[in-house]
Amino acid sequence: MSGIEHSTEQMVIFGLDPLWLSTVILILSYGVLLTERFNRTVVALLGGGLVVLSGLISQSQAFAAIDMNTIALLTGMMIIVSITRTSGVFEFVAIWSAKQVNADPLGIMIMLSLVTALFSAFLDNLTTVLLVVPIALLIVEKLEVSPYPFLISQILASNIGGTATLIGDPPNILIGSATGLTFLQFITNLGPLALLILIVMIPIFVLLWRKELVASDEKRASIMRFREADSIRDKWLMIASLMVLSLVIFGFIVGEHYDIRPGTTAMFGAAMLLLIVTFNLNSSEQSKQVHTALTEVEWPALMFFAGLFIIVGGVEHAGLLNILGASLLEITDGDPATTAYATLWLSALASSAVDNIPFVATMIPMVESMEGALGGADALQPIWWSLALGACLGGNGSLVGAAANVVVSGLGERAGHPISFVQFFKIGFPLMLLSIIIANIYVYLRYYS
Amino acid sequence: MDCKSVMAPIKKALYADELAGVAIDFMVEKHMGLVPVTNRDGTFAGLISGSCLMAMMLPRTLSAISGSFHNTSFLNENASEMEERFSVLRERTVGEMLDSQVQVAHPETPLIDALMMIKDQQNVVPVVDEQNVLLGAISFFSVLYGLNKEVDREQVERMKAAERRERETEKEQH
Repeated sequence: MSGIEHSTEQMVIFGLDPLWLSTVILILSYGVLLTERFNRTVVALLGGGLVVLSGLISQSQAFAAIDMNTIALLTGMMIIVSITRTSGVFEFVAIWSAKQVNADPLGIMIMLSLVTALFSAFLDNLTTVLLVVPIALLIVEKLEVSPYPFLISQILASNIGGTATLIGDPPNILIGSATGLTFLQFITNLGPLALLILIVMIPIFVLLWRKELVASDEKRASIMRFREADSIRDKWLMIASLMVLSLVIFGFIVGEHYDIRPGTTAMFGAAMLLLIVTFNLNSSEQSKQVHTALTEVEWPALMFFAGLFIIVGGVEHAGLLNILGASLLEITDGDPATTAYATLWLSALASSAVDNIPFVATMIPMVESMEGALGGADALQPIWWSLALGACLGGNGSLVGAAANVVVSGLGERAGHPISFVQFFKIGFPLMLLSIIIANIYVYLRYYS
Repeated sequence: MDCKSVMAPIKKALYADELAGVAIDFMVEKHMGLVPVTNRDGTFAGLISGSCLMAMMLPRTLSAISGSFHNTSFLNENASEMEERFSVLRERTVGEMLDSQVQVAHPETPLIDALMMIKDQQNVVPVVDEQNVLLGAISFFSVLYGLNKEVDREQVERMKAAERRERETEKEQH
């Protein structure tokens, strides 16, 4: 994120003030992203292109602004997950968990929430909801119960679970990559809180939906007939991919001691898994298999990140984020605790309304600029956790708060169960506020009491 | 060569407001997997296909987001579950399940254009007039009949009918 040297030697187009120009490009890009009128990747790449074409930064500075650790981490995990999912292991776990509660609809909703939270912590939450929500929809159809408790609880659980680890949610990946905070630091600082919030949320889910989630014995029997073992399509692939996934997570934990960044670990794991799945194939089959795995990578998302990094690089280079950082410190009187709470609430409310990825990408250099004033890197750590908590949990505030929300709502709509903005907001926003209050107390008790 | 020279006339129309059960019986009787459907005024409404009907026979979630499921054998469904969905399906109207987004040809459309449509996986090309009234249809078979004059459509129809009768007789004897 801060791979750019601050320099005033760059020639800005028409001699415009770089600060103003970069701010206009940032606001314009984010404004257009907010309207959702144009594809977000196109908008980010255009914004990034404007930053370079207008002379705010050079091409080499723009490339340096792209955080390759984030890009590599995302790419590697996407490849690993795309191969692992073809084994059917995720469907197996979802169906197995539904049967553990004797197909009781309320029990299934709780179990699937827990499964989604767990998967979201170790995969990305988009992938998780894409794997679990179709099974949830199939189950509610068989049980003839309302799908909305399942859809809404899946969204909430995926964002809470994703908060727990470095790889759980894109904001955490961005923060981890920019700051060098490790996988272990993420899980020890955010994991307990994510678990606590989930424990608080589950009884609320029960209170909210217990009356709606009742099914006849006959319908429950149709779920109990599910044969989870049949969902495993390739046992060998399942074993191999789970081993690689476990090794990658282990690599995230131990890599910090050997200066191996998560991006390297994830890409190496992806390459290992590709080698394993293509080992016994001939050359043409190998090419086909590798091609299939690579087409599963969300290239538009990666290009979106690249464009975003360049836009943020432009404002960072022009000094806007230093100014904003100083303003925030002025408001909070430079008190670390107040700054942490302000960051938590600001990021939660902003992430409810807009995509949390561009927000966090912008906030990172701004928080970095406060390091000196707050007393060094250690004093900054609670601010990073506050930013991560606000951005991840804030995603629960509205239907557009996180990409996973939009995906679940899209799946629901395709299956004939559209979720309206207001319908989600009435449940999501109060629960998001509750989770932020809990997070605020946690930040106070853990770092400032 | 144009479409009117090879198109097969519509002998019995299927209407969009009829029950799907009627369409299913018709398709089974005629051994047709893809049938043009009209509105009561004769205008073309769309095509009903075996795959449309099969999609309706699946649990709704599976047909709506089929791409999310690589394997569905874990459902372990029994016959009564499928029969239940089939009987519900028969009571729905043809219009609910037909595909209206299909390419059509006109009598004067060059046959090569219809062949391109068939090549693009649309196995039956409806032929309509300027008022969108259905006049006939072109399929792989009608093209072959049109090009190979030695094969007479009526004769093939008679052979198919005889074959059906033979099958029914065999069934009764069993």
